[in-house]
Amino acid sequence: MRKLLLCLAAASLAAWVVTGKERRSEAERQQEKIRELRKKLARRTGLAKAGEEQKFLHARAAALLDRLKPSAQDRYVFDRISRAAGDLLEASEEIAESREPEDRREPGDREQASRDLQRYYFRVQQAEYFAGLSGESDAAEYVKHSRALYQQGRSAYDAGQYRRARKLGEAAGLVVSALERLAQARFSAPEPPRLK
Amino acid sequence: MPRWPVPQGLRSQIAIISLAALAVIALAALLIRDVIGQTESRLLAEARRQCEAACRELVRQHQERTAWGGDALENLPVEAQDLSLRGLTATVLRSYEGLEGGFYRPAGARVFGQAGSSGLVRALSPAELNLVGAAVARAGADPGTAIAAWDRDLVVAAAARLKSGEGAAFALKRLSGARDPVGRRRRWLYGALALTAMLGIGAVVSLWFALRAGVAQISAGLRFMERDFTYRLPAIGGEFGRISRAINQMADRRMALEAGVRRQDRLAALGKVVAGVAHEIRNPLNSMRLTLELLDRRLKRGAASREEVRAAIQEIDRLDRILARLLAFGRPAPAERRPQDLRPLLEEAAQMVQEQARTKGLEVVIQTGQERLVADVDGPQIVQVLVNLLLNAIEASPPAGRIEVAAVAADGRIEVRVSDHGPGVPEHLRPHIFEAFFTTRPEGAGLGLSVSREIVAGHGGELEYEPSGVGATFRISLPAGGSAV
Repeated sequence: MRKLLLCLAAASLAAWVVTGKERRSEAERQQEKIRELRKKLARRTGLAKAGEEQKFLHARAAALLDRLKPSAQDRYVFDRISRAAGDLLEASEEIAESREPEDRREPGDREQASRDLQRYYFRVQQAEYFAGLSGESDAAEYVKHSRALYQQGRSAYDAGQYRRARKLGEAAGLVVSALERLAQARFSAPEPPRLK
Repeated sequence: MPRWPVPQGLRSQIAIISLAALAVIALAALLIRDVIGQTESRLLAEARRQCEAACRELVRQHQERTAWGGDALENLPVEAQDLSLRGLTATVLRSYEGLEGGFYRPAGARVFGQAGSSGLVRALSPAELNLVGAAVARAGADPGTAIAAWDRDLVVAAAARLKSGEGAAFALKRLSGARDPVGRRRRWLYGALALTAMLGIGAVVSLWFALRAGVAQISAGLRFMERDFTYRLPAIGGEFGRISRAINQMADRRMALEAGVRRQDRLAALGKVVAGVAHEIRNPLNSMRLTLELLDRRLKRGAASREEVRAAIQEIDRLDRILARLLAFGRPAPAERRPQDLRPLLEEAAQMVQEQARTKGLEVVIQTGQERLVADVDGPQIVQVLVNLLLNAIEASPPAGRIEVAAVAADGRIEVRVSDHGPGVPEHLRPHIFEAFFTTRPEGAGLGLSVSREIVAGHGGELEYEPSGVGATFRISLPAGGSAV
């Protein structure tokens, strides 16, 4: 009986040590992720000529990064919020790239832009639905900016700036993706079963 | 141009109208049923078209979502997958009113991303889940559909397989009350039609009875009027009332006209009688005057004889006979009728004129069969009639001729024909031969045939002149009846 108790205590200690290591490594990974995103944010905010949409995206990305608390949060929730912040920064990057000079030699540009814009249009249509589930206080701003970005992309398409149109449409889609991830973050992932 | 046979009878026409009305009502019922059926079919077809289109769009958007470079859906927790797909479904179904849809995984028959166009989503019932499963099973290259009916509700489900091959997109439309979309109104319409039919039939039957009663009332009244022309149709309402009033007015006018005609006839007859009487009496009176003047002259000479007195007496007797005939014509003696065989009467009459016939060399032949010739008659009066006819026949016949008296019984009547072989009655005189004081003989009184006709009419019979090829024939028709005593 005593041997059995000793074995159990030893097994528990070993498990604590192992999981503690895993927790530490996960926390480190999350810290790394936060650092990476903050660097990206700093790069984006450091650039001049940030438009209204970009300022909003940077502010929301910063707020989301502030909400990230390594090891204190569910891994799934951390993943959703960090990815949402990443989407916003990526959207900002797409906007910035949309301002670069148009390369008109790219083949099939118009058809591709048309197909992509159709897909982004559908994503923008989903914005309101995800905004309602995201629980964000300024969800309506997300919707507004995603629509504004799509509209700019549509105008660029009309102007024959197909690359710019695709970039702005992509940015609009990324804003909606951020909303979708934030909505997903509200649902806690089920805990994996423990061995008994 | 051919003429269609048109039924003249009121009954046939009413029956045709009734049948036509019933046919119209039956056609209306069929039309309502057809419209309802078409409405249901159209609703189903439209729902099916919407569901299939929504399925195709869901599949396309799912494919786009899968191809998008973001998170792979399958790597997400179930709840997150459900949320993302709900967003996709809700966006697609925004363009399809009244539809619900989502994604179906055959493994475990689970539904993901269910959303509705209205935003409100009701979890699928087990029956609806089975319906979606049936649609998925039928889905191939094109969407499969399944339709179910529960009570008055119809549910249409369509499903299209996802390109990834794992599961299918589905769309579902609940058509509440679509199975009988105008059920309550239809019942009202059928009820109204049935009521209309009953009212129509009732109206036709009522019309039929009213017409029949009206026609029967007027017919009965007209029959009464035939017997009693002073009778008038009773006052009734409606159209028949107008008809009966018109008939009564016509009868009043006719009575007034007939009264006037009768008065004129009486006056004319009276004038004839007076003329006839004056003529008949004047001759004997003239004769008597001449006889008496002759007697007066002879008495003055003292050479009077009894011959003149006898001649005067004969003229007075003649006057008496004329007056007796006039009295018989004006007030015929009351008949004393009894059922009796007519054969003895025929023989008696023939016997009475035998002397006059023999004088002229004529033969009176009586022809009767074996049948009964019994009639309810006054014997002496009938003998008088026969004697009158035989005397006329003897008068008209050429010498050494033959006079036939034939009697037969037929159709409840006994007919006696007295025929001669004389010249017959000229056609222009025939309408007048039965008038009183009409005669073609200078010495005739012109009362024989008119008195005879009165006597026969008093027996309920008829006396008529029958034109024939040779000579003249008078026909006496009497009702047969009774037993000879």
